[in-house]
Order: sequence, then structure tokens, then C-alpha cells
Amino acid sequence: MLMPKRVKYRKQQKGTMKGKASRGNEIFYGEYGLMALEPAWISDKQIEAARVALTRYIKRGGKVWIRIFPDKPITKKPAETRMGSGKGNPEYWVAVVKPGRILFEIAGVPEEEAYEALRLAGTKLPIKTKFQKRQDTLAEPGEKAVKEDESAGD
Amino acid sequence: MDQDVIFVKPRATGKGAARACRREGLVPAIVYGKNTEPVPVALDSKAVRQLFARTQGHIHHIVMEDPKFEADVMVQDVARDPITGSLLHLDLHKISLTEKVRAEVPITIVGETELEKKGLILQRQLREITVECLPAEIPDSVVLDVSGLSVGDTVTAGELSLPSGIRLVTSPSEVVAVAVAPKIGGEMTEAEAGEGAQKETGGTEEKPATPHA
Repeated sequence: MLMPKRVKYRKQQKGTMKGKASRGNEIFYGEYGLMALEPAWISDKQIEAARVALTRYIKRGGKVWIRIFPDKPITKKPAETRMGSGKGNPEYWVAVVKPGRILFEIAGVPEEEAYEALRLAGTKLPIKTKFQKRQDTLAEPGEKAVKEDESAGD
Repeated sequence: MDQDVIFVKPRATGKGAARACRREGLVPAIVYGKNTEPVPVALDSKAVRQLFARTQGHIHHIVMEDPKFEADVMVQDVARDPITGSLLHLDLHKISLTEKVRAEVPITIVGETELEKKGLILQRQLREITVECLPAEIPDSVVLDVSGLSVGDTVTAGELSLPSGIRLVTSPSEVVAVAVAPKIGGEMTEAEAGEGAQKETGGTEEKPATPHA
């Protein structure tokens, strides 16, 4: 599973997940992507489960990019322990995800296959997600096909 | 060259004023350029979206009636809401039609269907190139025909055919696209799936930072 090779500090504070993703919110490598619609901590196990679901569905062809990395250690106190005696031990790693963040990208597969693969990957995650297509023009999603005569009628 | 006229209104600056603009269906924007003071303006959101949807033209002519202001501008940057994709702000770069400018030109791929018939996949590395030319000469897009490519063939930025008078700013050795054969195989084993994760993310088998549960 994904985790940092080496960290400067073993334990971190909780932090907040206010606002929307200001970085990593555009499809950069592939043709299609999966966008987070809610803030969440996505654990290393969830990322791995989503990746396996994605790669199994597109077993031939295609390339997958994972755009998030679990670099935040989460600590936990052992069961049946009295409160106090300091912070617990690091148990697992999470990626802090804000709405708008692209989680996975995919290329080299037809759109229907990419949609289904990313939908399956999304079911492994604890948040609502959205299928996104790369937008190469300045047009907004869904407005690419506007023609001169249609726009004149508005 | 398509040059569209956009009517703009003056606007107050600041977060509250910008939000008020958006509530009224306007998009806040700023016009800046050489030897001019920045001018905060507001554009009709619907008109801008329709303009972007029907044209790839780089140069637009903006007109403000009160106070009188006119300029030829290039869309330098577009800020969008990451979730809805709606326009939040535009950066408009005032340019002179007689001076050379640098612009990003998208690469349009043709012949991808022929490539797919050969059983190949096109991996695109670069989607737009930077060119330097007069504003009137900026092409809408640069066409790349990939129908003749075979396995492992690479197209670099220097191999793209540009009209005369246009200088390529992007490094000519930069790879634009590669034709590759798809991985053909049956059901992926667990080990293969795990191996894939390490390749894609650059992970290693070094000792982890902390013990993992």
C-alpha cells in the first residue's frame, strides 16, 4: 500500500478540510478522471481498493494515474486503554482530500469503459465522486457543442 | 483571425464587489498590459461562455462605454470553480496588434481511428505548444496526423508543421505523442496489480516510515 518512505515527524495534528481543492483539481495526465465532491480522509487501503477495482476492469490497455498520496499518519490508542499517557501510535496513512480534487486519471480506453471503471473505483471510496472528462477548450463542460445559430437565439 | 467584440462594464474591486458581480450574472475580470494601468471590468457571463463555446480565437476586442475604454485583449488566464466549472474570473492581457506575442496553441490530433485499426494507442504527452508571432497570425490549432505512425514511433514538437512567420517557443525535442501497443492479457493477478501501484506512483520497497498495522 502507498505510504511515505521517510517522514520528519511521526505524528501529526488533525488539521481541517475547509474549502475546495485549489490544486490538483484539473485532469492533467489522462483523458478521464474521478473527482471528489466531499472532503474526506482517504486511507491507503481505500486508495488501493479503488486502484485494484480500476485496473481489474480495464485489464487490457489503458493507463492509470493516482493523483492522491496518503502522507498523513493517523494514530490510535490501543483498545481498552485508559485515557491519558500521551498520543497513540501511528496506525495507518491517509490522503487529505477536498471537494474538486482529482483522485484518479485514466487514458487509452473508450469513454464508456473509463466511466464504468471509475464508477467502480468510486464505490470503494468513502465519499461522493464524479466522472470528469478532459476539457481542452475554454468552453465549460456540456457547452462545447453550442453553435452560432443556437447562441443567437438566446 | 476571428476577433469578437465583447462589451464590458466597469466594476469596483474587492471580494464583496466581485461576489456581487457574480450574483448579477457577470464575470469579474482584469485588463492589464504594457504601459497601461490595470482596469477592473465585468463581462456578461452568458455571453462569455457562448463565445468560448463557439470560438478558439485568441484575440478579442473589448469595448466599455462609460468610461470610454477599448482594447485588443488575449485571454491570459481563466479561474473556474473546481466543482461546477463555472467562470470565476478572467485575466485579459492587453496587446498591440503590431507586436509579437506568445500564445498557447492546442494540438489537434487527426488519424487516431486509423491508429486504433492497427491496434495501437496514442499516448499524448503534450497537448498545447507555445508559439511566438503577431496576434493576427496565431493559429487556432496545430494539426498532427498520426495515421502513419507505427509501434514506438514518437512525434516531437519540432516535427509539427507550423505556418510561416510563427516561431516555436516550446523545446523542439519535447515529445508530443507516442504510439504504443496496448498491454494484452487475461485476468490480472494480485501480484501484478500490486506491482502496478508501485510503478505508477514511484513507490519502493524500502522500510516504511512507521510500522503499519
